[in-house]
Amino acid sequence: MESGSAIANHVLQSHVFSLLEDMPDVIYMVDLDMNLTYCNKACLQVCRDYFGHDLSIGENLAKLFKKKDSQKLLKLLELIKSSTSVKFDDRITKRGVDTYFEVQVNPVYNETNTHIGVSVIAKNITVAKNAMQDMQSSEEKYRMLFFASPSPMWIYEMDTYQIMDVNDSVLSSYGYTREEMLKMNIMDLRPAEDRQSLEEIIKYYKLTKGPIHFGVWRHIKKDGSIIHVEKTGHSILFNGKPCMIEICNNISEKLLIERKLQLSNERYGFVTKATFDAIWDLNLVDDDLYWGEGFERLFGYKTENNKGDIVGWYEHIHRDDRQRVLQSINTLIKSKNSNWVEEYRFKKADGVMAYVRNKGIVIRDKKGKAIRMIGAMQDITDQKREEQQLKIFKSVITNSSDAVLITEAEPINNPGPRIIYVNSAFTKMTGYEREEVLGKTPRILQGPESDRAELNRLRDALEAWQPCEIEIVNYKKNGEKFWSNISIVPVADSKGFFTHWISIQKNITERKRAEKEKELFYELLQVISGNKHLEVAMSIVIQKISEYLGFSYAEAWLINIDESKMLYKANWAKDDTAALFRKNKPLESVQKGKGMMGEAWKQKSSIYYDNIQTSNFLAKENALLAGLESVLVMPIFLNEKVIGFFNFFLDKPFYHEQLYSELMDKISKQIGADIQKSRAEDELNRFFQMSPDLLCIVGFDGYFKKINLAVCNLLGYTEAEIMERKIEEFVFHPDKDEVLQKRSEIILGESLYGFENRYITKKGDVKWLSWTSVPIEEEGVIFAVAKDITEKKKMDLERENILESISDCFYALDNQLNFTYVNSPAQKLLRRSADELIGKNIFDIYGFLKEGLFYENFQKSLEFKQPVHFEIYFDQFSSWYEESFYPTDDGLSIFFRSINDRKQVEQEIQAAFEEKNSILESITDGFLTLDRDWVVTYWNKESERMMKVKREDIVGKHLYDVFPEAKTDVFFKTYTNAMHEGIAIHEEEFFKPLNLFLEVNAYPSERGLSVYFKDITEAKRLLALEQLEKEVLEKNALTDVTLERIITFYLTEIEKLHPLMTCSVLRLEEGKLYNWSAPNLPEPYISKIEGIEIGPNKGSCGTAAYLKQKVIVSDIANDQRWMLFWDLAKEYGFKACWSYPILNNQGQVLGTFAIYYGTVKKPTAEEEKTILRAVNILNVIIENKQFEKEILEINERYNLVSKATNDIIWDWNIRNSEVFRTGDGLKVLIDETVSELSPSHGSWIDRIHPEDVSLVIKKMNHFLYETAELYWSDSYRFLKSDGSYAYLNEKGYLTRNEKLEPIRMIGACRDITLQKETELILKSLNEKLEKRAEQLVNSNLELERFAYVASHDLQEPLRMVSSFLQLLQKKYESQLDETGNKYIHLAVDGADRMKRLISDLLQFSRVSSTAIALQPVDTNEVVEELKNLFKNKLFESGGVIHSSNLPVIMADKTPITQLLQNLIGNALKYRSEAPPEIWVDYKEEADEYIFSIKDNGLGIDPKFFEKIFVIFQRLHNKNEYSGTGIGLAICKKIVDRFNGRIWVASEPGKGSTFSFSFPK
Amino acid sequence: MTEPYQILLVEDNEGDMILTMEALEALNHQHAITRVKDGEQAIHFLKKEGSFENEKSPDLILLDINLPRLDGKEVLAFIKQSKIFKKIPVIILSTSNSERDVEECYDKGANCYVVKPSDLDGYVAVIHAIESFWLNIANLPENLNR
Repeated sequence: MESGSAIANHVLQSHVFSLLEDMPDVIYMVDLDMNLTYCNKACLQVCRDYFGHDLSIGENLAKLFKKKDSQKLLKLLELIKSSTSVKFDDRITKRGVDTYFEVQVNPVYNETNTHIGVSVIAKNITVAKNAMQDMQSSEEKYRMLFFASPSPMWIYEMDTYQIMDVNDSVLSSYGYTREEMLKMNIMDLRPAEDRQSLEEIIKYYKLTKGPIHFGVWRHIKKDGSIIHVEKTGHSILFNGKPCMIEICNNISEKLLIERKLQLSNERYGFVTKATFDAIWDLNLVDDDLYWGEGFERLFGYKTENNKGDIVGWYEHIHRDDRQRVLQSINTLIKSKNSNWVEEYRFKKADGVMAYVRNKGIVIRDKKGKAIRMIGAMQDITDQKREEQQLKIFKSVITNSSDAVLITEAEPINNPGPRIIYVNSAFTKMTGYEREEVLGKTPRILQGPESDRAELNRLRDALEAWQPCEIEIVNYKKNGEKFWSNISIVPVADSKGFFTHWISIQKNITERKRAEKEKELFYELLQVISGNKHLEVAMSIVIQKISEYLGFSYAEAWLINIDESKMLYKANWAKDDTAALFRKNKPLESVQKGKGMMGEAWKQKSSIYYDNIQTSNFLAKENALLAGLESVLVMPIFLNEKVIGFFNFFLDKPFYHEQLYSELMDKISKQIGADIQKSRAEDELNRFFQMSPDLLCIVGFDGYFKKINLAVCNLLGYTEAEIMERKIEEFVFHPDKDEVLQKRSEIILGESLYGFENRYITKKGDVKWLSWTSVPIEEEGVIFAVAKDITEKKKMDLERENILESISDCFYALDNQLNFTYVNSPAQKLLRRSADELIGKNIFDIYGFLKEGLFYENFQKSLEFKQPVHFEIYFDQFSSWYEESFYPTDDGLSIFFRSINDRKQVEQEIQAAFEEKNSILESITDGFLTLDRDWVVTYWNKESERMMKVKREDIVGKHLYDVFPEAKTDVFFKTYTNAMHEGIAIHEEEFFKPLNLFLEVNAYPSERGLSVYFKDITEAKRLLALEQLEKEVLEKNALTDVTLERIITFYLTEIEKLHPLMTCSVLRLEEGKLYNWSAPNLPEPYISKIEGIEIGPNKGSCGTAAYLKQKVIVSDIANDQRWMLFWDLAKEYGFKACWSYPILNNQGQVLGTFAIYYGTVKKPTAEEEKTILRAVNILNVIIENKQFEKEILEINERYNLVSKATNDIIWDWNIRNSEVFRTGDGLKVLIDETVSELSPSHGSWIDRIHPEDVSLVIKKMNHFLYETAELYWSDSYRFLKSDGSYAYLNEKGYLTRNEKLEPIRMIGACRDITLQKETELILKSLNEKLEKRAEQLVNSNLELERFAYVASHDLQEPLRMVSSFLQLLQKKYESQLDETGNKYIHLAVDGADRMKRLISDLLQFSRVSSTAIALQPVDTNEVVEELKNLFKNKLFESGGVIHSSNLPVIMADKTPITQLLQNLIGNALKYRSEAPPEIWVDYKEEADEYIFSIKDNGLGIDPKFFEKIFVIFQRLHNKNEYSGTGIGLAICKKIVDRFNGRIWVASEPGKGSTFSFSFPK
Repeated sequence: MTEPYQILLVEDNEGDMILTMEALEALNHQHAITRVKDGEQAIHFLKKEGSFENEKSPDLILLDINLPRLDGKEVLAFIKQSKIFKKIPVIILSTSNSERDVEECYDKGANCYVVKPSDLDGYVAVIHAIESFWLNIANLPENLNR
């Protein structure tokens, strides 16, 4: 065995070795000294790889182990020596990568069993090791995940559902301990109903790999509450069993949130639904159109994902409207406006054309470009239709000022058709209330003066079913007459039968009267123009007026020419009494201002007194005498000037029409012209007659046609004598031919002026006449005026003697300068006699004259043949002379006179003038004088200063030579006028040459014109400035004017007032200045200073804004503050610039106001004034506008939402009662100024109609706090700001918290007034018709009337019967026998019964005629009262009334008492033998009470059950049971009134049960 | 009693007139009673027009409502609107117990509204009551004649 085994061993060894060589494991052997004895390939490889060393046999491995491996080495050594087998893991690391080995060390023995070394087998276990590690860490992860997960997780066995493990979260979430949990299976956690489906789903997922989403399941916690969990699972093997690990997330919270979210979405959806409109959103950039749901709902078009088609929309618009709609959108987009609204027709999907109102708003980007439009389209077809319907309805009937009356069609014959409708205009017109005429015939309006012929015409038309129009007199209810225009048309029903007449009636009394008065008025005019004598005409006029208006007496007075008094002209009296007025000392004229006429004249209006005695009427006594009581003084006007009076009198007080008729007004205002015309003719005639000149009209035939008195007077013939003879016969014979000659010339058309001829008077005197004659060819006459110039002719002759008698000196020289004539004064002055001088040469005698001024003028006059005037002092005569030379053909005539006296006066005047001059100089006004030739004669200092012209440069010159421009001025004309007409003038003038406003006073005088003038330029400018400021502030108040525009306007106007200024306003923004407006600064300059930063020395504006104070730079070029802009200023020629900061109330700089000048300049006081005012104004308008802008921005946000709808959207925070409302409709409802309406819920409530408000609040409170409902809807009336009520329809969506408490409500509110009104009108119309029908059926009206009659008229005779029977009995009882007394008794009894009957009937009729006032009625009380009432009867009969506890009902107590009284009364009355017993009971049904009154009485045969409730139905002989047969009818009527029923159940002999139902 | 009172009875119904007179006469009084048959006459009487020229003004007026020509309400209105006559107490005597009539009469200023009782005894009692209250208990204004 041994050898065998050795061989085998050897074989084995060699075999093993080759095996070892190829093993993947590292195998090596070492001897005890660690020398390598063997290593296989893998070992070599590893060594090479990890140590970079090639092993060789015999190598000592000890050195291979590095220091850090020394432990391993020692271990190995120990192993080697211990010769035991060891197994361990080792690791070598290279470049951070670990390689793991499983090392097996075995001792090696030789054949002798000597321990010779060890073999080492190292197996690479890196992969396994890594896997292990991975596994380890994954398990850790799992455990961590599982146990620490915040989500509950568990593992359960799929077959048994046994829970295997759970994490901590499960425990905390579900409330179980782990121990409890591990004993449970998962089904225990489910509601029973969920278990089966869970089983199914687990089976289904059993084989699934990967995560499983189970969805949402319900779990029960330990405390029994249910939570919603979302489960994810994974099937695993756990403890070798197929298990499921599940993660359950509690999503109850999430679900709740989702639910809320969903609700909130719904809410949004609801809001869009609540708006009633189709909301749309148009992206203008890419034309995307979004339609809200309303589009399909309202117009029927389906949209895909709400995507719209703008072309489609456009094509559905009615063809006629398309262009307009498109245009308005385009206009809107281009404009700056954002609101758009358009109404147009729009074709719905079903082809129907709808009216829509489309409102939109444009959203713009920063540059103002429209990018989006949001809007709402509303179907307003119904509204439109209703509007129209309503309009027609309203206009035709209700609001018609014409009375509308509708009657039945027949009978046309007596009594005439019955009226079924009248409108309120009818009542107004006739005084009949609607109720009074309904059922009657229109004939009630007719009366004695109604024209029979017209009525017959109407009747004929009616019979022929023809429309007809008549005009007749009708009568109002109070008997007053009025003219009525009646137009009647028949109305046919759908079958063509005429059913009604509609009659439209107009009150045309006014028109009729106007016609009559117009007629009268023209008659009056005719009278005036047709009568020769004004007095006669006026007498007729006042007569006609008085007769028409019923006055007793009248007078006409006219104001005289100089308006100093009033003159009596004519009168008229109704009778002799009235005529007494002028019998006694009548007034013929009255001084201006006296009496009533004076008063009326002054007031320019009529005056009247109903009691003449209390008036200031002058002729009171006469009036008293004539029995006149009242007086009316009516002025007659011509062009608003009083020219006379008509005074009217009456023997009693006036009535209204007499005082205030249009006729009187017309007469007063319009008749004046005709009177004046008539009067003018009168006066002209008087002129003609009274003229001292001879006036005549001469025919071409040579006869006088008309002459005035003067002609007769001059010639001494009578008019007739003159008229019948030819003119030539009166002419002085020598002149006759010439007269004929001239006449023929005149006839040919020539006028004649100043033709003189002589006439012979009857006495034979010759008279000189000077004629002016004008032919009137068409009429063949000559108008001629002649003046008697006989006297003048005589004077001419005498004049020749005058020369000699004049006091001036006069002499004449011939060509030789010899004296030819010297008058006596001249002889005196020349100190020579005429004889001494005549024929002598002047210079021979007076040599001293041949030099100096005298001689110069002498020569001049002779040479130029012109007169010369001059003054001269002759020493020789020691005297001043005034000389006048008149050259004649044959020499010279010389006048002269001594003027010493005058000269002396002149000198005195001169001295006085010097004195005055100093006064004139001190006048501070400008002052100048002009002579009549416009030469300036005076010019004071102020004029020098103001006009900048020195006195010496103008005095003595023509004004317009110095101021040639002034000649074209307006006041040249004024001055010319002043000068020529002698009118003082007072004018304000703008004097262009000097840019001055002058106030000028000019006074004309003989010598010329004195002119005062004052500089009022500054005052004018301030006035203009003030005006401008007002205008600017007004513009500022307009919201649509931009700030830039206002400022530009303002600056432009300031520059007009200060033409040398250039203004600029800059705006400060973040420390930089930007141009706001500078209408006249050069554009390039503006752009160069745009955006400069403020600071010291930054020009005027930059500095002013920086320092917050004005900066006056009067010389830019030499001012350091302008250093930076010197070149710029130079380039644009600016020499001065003043800048003023514009500060707001907080002292912040808004901008600057700067003034540039082209000259070096400081502001004057006036300029500074203007500027400071401007700064203030700018401050105001800028602040104002900016504030406005902010508000606008805030509002815009809200408006965007609200404007997309026509409704009022509101958002009510119920917890703090804050309400936010917005929407276009709000404006209409509430005055915008009432802004507090928005936040407060209370103020909204306050405006709800008082009749609605409590209901609304009640309903709202119920909705909010007593229901869990979320949708709210109500409608109510709401007080609009204009005082009217609007019907609002309100819908809302409420948000509640988890406790169902209301939190917030969002809703929409719509004004449905129009629909509502229509509804109401139709409803009320229906109601009226129903009511009418009811009334007609029941004839309630008649019944009521009957009742009234019964209560009076029937009772009265009855009373008579019974009273007198009783009286009879009383007085004559003893005389009557028993039968007689019995008869009386019967009669009295009959009367009594009749009285009862009437009183019952009355009660019956009253049941329906009185209104019901519902109130709670305790029926127990009623029954108790009745028990008391029937106390006696009960006592007598031994009866008893049982009543259970009865309910409180809503009713009217009186009828209910009556009802029960009748029923109980009947029960007592119709009793059987037994004592009556009555049970009053009730039963409560769902919506009514059923009362029953049961008795044990006679009972009623069933066949009478119906009958007994009918009036007058009695079952018993009246002798058996007293009664009228009305009681049960009353009961039925009462029950009917309350919408209940009444019935009876009975068995004869056993009793009856009356029951009635009463609604709750 | 200083002087007998003047009573104006406005009554068209002969029967009522007789009853009233009888009732008053039963009292043995001194009053002067004048009876007119319609409203118009009543006003003439008050104004002393025509045949009433020499009549004395009444201290008390008993007025029926249903009168020919001018009904009692109009007469009442006339009296109560007149400055002179309004102080004379007016007693309305009427068959009507209509609420409307009662209210209307008081509105117009009636001093008292009495429904005529239908039986003789009642009627007499009422007239006596009126006489005793208005002419014996109440203070009447100074008569217009005095």
